[in-house]
Amino acid sequence: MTLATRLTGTRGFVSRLSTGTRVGLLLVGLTVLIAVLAPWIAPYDPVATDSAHALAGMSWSHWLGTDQYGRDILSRTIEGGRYALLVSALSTTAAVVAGTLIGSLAAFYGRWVDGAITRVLDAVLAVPAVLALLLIVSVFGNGLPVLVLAIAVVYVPAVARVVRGAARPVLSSGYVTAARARGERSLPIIGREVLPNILDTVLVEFAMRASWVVLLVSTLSFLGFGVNPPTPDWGLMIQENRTAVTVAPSGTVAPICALALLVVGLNLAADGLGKYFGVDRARRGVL
Amino acid sequence: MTTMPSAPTAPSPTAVVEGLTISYQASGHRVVVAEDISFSLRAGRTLGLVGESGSGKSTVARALLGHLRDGSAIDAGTVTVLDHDVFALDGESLRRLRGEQVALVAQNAGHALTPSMRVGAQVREALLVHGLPAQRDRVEELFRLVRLPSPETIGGRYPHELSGGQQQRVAIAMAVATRPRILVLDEPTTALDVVTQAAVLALVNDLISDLGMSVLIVSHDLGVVSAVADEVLVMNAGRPVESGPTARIMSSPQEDYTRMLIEAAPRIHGVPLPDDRDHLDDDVILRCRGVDIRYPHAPNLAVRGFDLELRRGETVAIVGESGSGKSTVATALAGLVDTERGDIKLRDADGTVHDLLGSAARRTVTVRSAVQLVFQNADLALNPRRTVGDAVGRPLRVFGLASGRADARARVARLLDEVGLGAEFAGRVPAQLSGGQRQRVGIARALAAGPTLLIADEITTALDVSVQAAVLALLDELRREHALSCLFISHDLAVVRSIADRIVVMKDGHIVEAAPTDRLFTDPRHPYTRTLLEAVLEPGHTELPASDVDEEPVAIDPRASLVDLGGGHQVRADEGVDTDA
Amino acid sequence: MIRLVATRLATSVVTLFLAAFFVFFAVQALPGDVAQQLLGQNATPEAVATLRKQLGLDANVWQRFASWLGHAATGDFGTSLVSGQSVSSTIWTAFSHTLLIAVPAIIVGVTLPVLLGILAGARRGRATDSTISVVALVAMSIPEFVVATVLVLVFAIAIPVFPAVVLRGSAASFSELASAAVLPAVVLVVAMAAYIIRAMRSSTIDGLATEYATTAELKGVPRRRLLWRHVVPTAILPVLPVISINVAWLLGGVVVVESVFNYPGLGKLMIDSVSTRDLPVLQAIALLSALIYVLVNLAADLTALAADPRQRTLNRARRRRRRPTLEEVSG
Repeated sequence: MTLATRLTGTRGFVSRLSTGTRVGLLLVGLTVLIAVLAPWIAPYDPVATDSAHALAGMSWSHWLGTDQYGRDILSRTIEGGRYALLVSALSTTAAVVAGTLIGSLAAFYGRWVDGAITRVLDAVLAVPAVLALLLIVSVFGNGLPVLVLAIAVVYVPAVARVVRGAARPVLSSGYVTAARARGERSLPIIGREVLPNILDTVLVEFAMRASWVVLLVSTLSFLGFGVNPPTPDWGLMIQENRTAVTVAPSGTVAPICALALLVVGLNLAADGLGKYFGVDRARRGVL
Repeated sequence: MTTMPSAPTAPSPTAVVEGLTISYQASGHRVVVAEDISFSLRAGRTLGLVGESGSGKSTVARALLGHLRDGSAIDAGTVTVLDHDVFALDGESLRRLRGEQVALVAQNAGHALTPSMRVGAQVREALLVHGLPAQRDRVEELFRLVRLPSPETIGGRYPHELSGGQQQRVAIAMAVATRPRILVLDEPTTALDVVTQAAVLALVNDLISDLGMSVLIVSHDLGVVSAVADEVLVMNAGRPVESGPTARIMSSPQEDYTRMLIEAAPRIHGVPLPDDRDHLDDDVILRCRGVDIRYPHAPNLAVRGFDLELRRGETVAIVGESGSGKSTVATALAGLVDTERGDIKLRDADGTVHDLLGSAARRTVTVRSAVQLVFQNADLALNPRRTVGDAVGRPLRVFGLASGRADARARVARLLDEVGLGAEFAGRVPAQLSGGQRQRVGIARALAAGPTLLIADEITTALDVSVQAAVLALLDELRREHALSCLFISHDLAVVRSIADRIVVMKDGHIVEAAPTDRLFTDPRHPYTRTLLEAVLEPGHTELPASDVDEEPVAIDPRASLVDLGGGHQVRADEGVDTDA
Repeated sequence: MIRLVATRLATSVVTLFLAAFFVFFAVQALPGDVAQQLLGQNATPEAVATLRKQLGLDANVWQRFASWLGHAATGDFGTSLVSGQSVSSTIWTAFSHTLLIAVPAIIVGVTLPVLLGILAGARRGRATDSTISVVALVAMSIPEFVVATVLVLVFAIAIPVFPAVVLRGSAASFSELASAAVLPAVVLVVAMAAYIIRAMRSSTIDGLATEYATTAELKGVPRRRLLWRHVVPTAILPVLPVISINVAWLLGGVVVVESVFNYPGLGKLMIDSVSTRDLPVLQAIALLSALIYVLVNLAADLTALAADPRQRTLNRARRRRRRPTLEEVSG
């Protein structure tokens, strides 16, 4: 079955997905929609402080209560995904595109090219993502372009390794051999023969990396190196409100739920797509 | 022995299969794998289950062990083994039945042996789990029984350290260890070279008569069944076609399907050679002289001192076992691996002579289009994401052979017609094609480049015999029409007999013998060629060579050279070779 | 075999060297004058000059890299810009505290998930499997800081069994640290477990579907023996890299948990150093983590070599009989 026939008709495609996958895609879609529409649907200005109503409980005016500065928790939760999602979308796209290209080139040329690329990628992988980002942030600051670029660089090796692994069996197939024997060059072969056959792996890779990047960005914010206060962000909200968790639990619980729903959604989608395309994602674990 | 008619006082059956119907669930509806199959097995007798791929023969065989694939179910019928209904047994009784009463030898011992366990331990386990004594000497005795070399120490090896034939012998030792009443052999030699296959089958024959088991052998190969089975049951698409004593089925089949199977089987006896052997031009289009080929970083040469001349319109077959270097020659000619030494010249259609040494990327367009490959595995030969039209049209674009889209489309349609598919196939994707159809697309793609030299690397190995016969016929027809020169690479002498003008036999990277086809079959000089010829199994022929022949490799003297016997017959002057003209 | 190990050692050294290169030059890419950047715009020219000298900024960049690497190889990472103490001794104290969390976390976080994965794979589709799989999916969807926050909420505030934070920082006694290490270690176990469980489950399912597993089943091998003797030894091999990367990246999780629990380990030191831009300390920690990565990977590869008879004899076997096929060689 080709990708073309698989994707003909969105309805056919959706109806053949498992319940888990559909729930996952729905969760992701909903989160993205809320994040995009946040400025219009948030009941309050998420950064407006109101010391008179600090740490208020749940009420009709503040459904989820307020935090220590009297900011509306619901509004902050609604807006809290925007930054992480934006960074995630940009850096995941960059990492997957670059990683796919590097991985297929390494697989195509093999021998010393492959060896050299693998060594360099391995060296980048050697520093854990959080550490690498902290290092970069402490040098270049935490501006949006820096974060996006840094996260992309940190995840390129993992994507490249997966793509390289997926491309190798394709490259040893008869149709690639035939193309080589016709004297075709690397990029046409990768584009025509290899990419269409590893597109499933790449798509799954995208969903999976996206979930990681969301977690990473939130972690950075939690540690105080992501977004700058008072910008609303789930990670930052958990950090700010956890000391007051006994007084105003919703300040911590709401962002935790939002974050968990998004990432569970991304993971369900990645798992489901993986199963659908026959890409065993769990087998690889983190890489 | 095998042609003995079944005695009227046959012993009571050890296993009875009655009206067995098995189906599996696939995306909402049931697919029937086997329908209304009945047979019985008797002690000391062998039943052969024959059919092409998808006939359900393996499913039926494994039902004797109470094993069904996930999602499969018995719709009707019973399987009774030693008076027990196997599908009514509880877990523990079924476990005791398996291995102790009914044992299985699977197709590919390379996959069927556990890679992390030493082979001795695996054989010992077969005894242990059934509470049988499993001392060291019992295992040794079993290894001796299946004629493995150095039975005292081989048990300490891991499966990957053994050759394919040795692995299959271990699997057989494991199966017969418990002295089972019933032995099921599921395509036991399909993954083996012809010489090894003959030896393993001879061993099976000896064991059957020594141990007095009931045997069920499953095979797609009528030759294999002829050599082993007393009776035959032919299956097609899950249904029984015909059954009876082997000799009767082979000599006077009643059903068309059986007749077709027997006729399609490649053979070396009683088949006329193709008639047009003499009209060949003297126009040599490919000449190899003293070619050495080495894979990058490999310590040894893969091919050594290869010589070949190929004339226009001629088909030369290169025959040898896996590892003989026959495919390496194809790889080098296609420019996918560099030659280390020697000289290869190609004369294209215009009469210009080109060097054929460098890699494909460094060759000119003319040379690249002049040499075309058709691959062994049709499943991997076509990009699953591209249509048939795309695949066949690609060479036209790369080599600039079509003027515009309409022309390209018309040419693709014509090519598809030529290989017997029809223009409507252009829009399909490989998943919608059968194995034979894919191989035809592969041939059309090669033809699209307008080649002078067509290299066919084991192109029929993965196909059913009926499909194989059709593809071979097509190839021969195209060769005649286009005055193509064909290099046909195969492991099977019987397959190449009907299409090759000349045959080159290779072993361990050397040419051991080269001769016109009829000369090679009537007057083989090299002992290795003779071994290969003896190992060919044909429907209706029951002789097998000695059962341990694969442990006596034919000696190749590295200093020997090819001696010309005249009439295009050359043989390598190894020890014991008669080089008189 | 010896050649294989030697090659593997050599590539490890190359990887480590490249990682050191990246770590060093990432910091060198700091725009403008590093010393000026570090001290801010209001610094006196004398202070900047002193810092330049201290950082060795007068020499050319390659010389500095060589000298930094040379000193690092002997365990000398220079002096901290903030405390003025030797970086190595600071790191060493913090690292020993971190080991108190990491070692138990690794022991439990590897064995337990491997067992759970085998269990889930062997009972594919049943309640045990579904439960394990869902828990694993949720565990990998929740970041460490959330797990840590929740654990603090439950076991330090609601039912106060363990301390929520280490109050006395690096001056804390061993017994104080030991009880404070329990919750952080649990967080790390949860973070590692999900991936290892999923990989092991998947690999076990594949192993049970192999022809050799079917052959063993059909020769009457009982289910339990089939699983442990035939399936697991081979199924564990593809999981080894997953385990090694999780162990190697444990340091990433350590940063988070130590920050939440205010635990005076390497992660906390890293966070503090980022705030103060103490670059020598950051470089040293990054290099140390790269060293851990390389060592853990090496250990995993050697384990695979010891556990897999095919790999052990690969070199020999390849030379003896295996020749690549047409389709393989073009790859």
